[in-house]
Amino acid sequence: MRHCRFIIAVITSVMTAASCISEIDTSSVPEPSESELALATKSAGRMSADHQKGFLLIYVDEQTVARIEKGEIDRVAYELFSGMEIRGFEPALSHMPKNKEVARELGLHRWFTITFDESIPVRRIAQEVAMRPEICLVQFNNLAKPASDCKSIPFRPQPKLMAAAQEGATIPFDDPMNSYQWNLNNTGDKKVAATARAGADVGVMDAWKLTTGTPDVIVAICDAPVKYTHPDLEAAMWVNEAELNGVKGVDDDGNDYIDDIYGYNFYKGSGSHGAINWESAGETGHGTHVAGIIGAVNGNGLGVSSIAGGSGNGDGVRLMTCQLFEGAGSAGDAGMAEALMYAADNGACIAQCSYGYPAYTFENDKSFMDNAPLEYRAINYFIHPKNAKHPALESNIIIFAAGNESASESDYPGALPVCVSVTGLGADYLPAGYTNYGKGCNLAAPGGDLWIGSYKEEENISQILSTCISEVASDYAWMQGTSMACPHVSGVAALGVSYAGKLGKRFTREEFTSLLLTSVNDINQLIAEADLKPFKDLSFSLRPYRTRMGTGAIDAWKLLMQIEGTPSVMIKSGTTSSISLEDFFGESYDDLTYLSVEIDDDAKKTLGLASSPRIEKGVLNIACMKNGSAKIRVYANVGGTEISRELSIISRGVYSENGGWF
Amino acid sequence: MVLMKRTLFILTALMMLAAISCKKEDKNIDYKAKLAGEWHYVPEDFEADIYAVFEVNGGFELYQQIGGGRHKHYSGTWSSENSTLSGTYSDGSAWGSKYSMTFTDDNTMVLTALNGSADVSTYVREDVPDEVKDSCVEVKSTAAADCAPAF
Repeated sequence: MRHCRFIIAVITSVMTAASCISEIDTSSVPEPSESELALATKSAGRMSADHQKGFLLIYVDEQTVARIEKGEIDRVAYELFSGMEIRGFEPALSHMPKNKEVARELGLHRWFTITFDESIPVRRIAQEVAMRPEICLVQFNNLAKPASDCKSIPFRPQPKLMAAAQEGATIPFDDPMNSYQWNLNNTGDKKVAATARAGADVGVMDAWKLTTGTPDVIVAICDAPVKYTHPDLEAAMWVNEAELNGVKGVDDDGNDYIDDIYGYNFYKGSGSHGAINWESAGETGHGTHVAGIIGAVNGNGLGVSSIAGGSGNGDGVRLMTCQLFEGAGSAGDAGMAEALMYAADNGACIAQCSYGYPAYTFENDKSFMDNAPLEYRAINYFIHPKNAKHPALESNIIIFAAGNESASESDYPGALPVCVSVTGLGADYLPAGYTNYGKGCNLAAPGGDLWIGSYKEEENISQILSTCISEVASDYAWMQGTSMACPHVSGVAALGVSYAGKLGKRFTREEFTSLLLTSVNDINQLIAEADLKPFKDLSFSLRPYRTRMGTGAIDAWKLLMQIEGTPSVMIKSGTTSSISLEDFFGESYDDLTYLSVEIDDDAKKTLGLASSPRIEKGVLNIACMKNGSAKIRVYANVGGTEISRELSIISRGVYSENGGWF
Repeated sequence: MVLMKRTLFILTALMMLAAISCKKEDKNIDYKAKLAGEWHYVPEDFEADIYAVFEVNGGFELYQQIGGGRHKHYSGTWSSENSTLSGTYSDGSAWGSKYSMTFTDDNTMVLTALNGSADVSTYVREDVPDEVKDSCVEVKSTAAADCAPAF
């Protein structure tokens, strides 16, 4: 399998196991022991086949943490673990987040790790510590790792490949490989795929006339390492100047992290001590590829163009590398949580996260919150309004890949309502065979689709071309997956934040997410018209995907237009008007679930509303008896995420069908 | 009876006077010439900003910003009969109303909708700023080269 996905192999949780035993035959199995019951009550985190050995996360009560903060950690450790084979006891977050107030509010100061000999079964220790009343939760440290071969196809300038470049591509930068980047400018060239469709891209060509990104927008790449010396990325990296100009081995900026010049490595297994490392065995270039889609430097005469890589004057967004994976190693839940906190503390306003727990690992949001409480709290730390640093956002944005299991629901954490979950499309604007869809999915973007392209690998350009690691493949390579779709949305979001900042506008997370999710082109009609699509050696039916890929395909131009102003609609006073919500909720407007229409008393009076507005099949029916203008807000549900749009209603005695003033 | 006759006489006289005065206005005012040029209107009751350009050859350009954001660009053709102004957008949509034109001076024009609504707009003569023309959003079938595509 060529596409890349991160997966955590999960075996039955302790709680599930206990419930299964009782369902099967309670008379034939022994009663669970007291310690098993204690663990069943306090278990948080599923005992994975790939959990970290000799390691557990625990969440202690306030009294215990107060004693530890007074310097009694050794005494507390003795009292809690005497008689157990515990070797170490220390705070789970090796660096406490900067915002102590928010960290305490979320209980992050109450997480600790215990370590013990790797030969001892983790479950046994978990049962023992769960018996302690001071310990509220016990979490296994699941280890994420690439489950596929994460294969990248290196860009090699063979004659056949050179001949396969798109004709008519007009990307306005002198980056020599950008005629292969159909994801930025899809001309419908059949050399990409027989079914390639003109315009099936991220809609960035017109958006670039307004902004190409600004350096004050920092995107945290929570992933495998970003090769910060890459010639097409070096100038796009976030740089911690104090560390760059400081003393090696010293925490020059006092943020508790030593030598974190371009980010930090949260994988603790290799002994790299925080240094970004892309040379370990098993490295795939995944993080570097993701980073290049968002911010590879535009107009530098090298390699590829990117969504928010600037205008050619070194003015694109900045990329912060938060390394979670090193070779085959994974930072686990604790490292992922710490990475999000680091990103927030050091100025990132968008977290780009192409990883997740495979579909069906968690039944619902609560299941995720219960079983991955540390990561859940870290997500909430990242998006907490008090941690927002960019003037255009009242809270940060976090974007995840939907997953590559062809499953009918999104992976977690992307499926959480506070996250944006991104599904994958091919150059034909249709779902790629690998993509997840359905519950929890919010938005679609180009992720590449190998199987609609040429059968000859040397001519196949239907995946996504981006930066890679020469130590693995070459400086540029093709990859595919929702891992690649996700950074398209992050890149567009970065453009949106850049433009909002330029205009002096400011949005809450909910408002910005609503704008993002409604800046889309319809793909449902195309899905309905299509029948079968190739995937590997088979074909699959597109029918189940209709209306389940999120709101539609992201379009950068539409996002910038929405950021510019509240959309308005003109209606004729004195009669009932029916307004299509397409312009406000995107082209999939008639497939959304609308929740309510909010309109305050002043607005009702101004417009002379005869009755409450109502929505039927994406059409808002409203009767205004008076001339005037007022704002209303319409709420809808997309894949479990609530979005809303504010509309400016202009009620006049003169009305033209096309919305013209005369 | 006498009172009724007097009343009818007065009414008839008033109507004739009004008709004469209108005719006099039609004859003396070149509405087409007065209309030609660039106009600006900022409504008091709506969050809007309107620029209109009436060409002598019967074409018009409309740049309207409603509820914030950038101006949208419409175009089409206009015609007038005496003081009555009407028009059609380039996508074939008719204007929402015909208007009665009144010019209080060379630089002020009042358009009163003739569809029975109380819609009155007072325009002042003012060039369309270049930034409005350059940054506008194209609507429907209009084709100004400077504008970005509609969304």
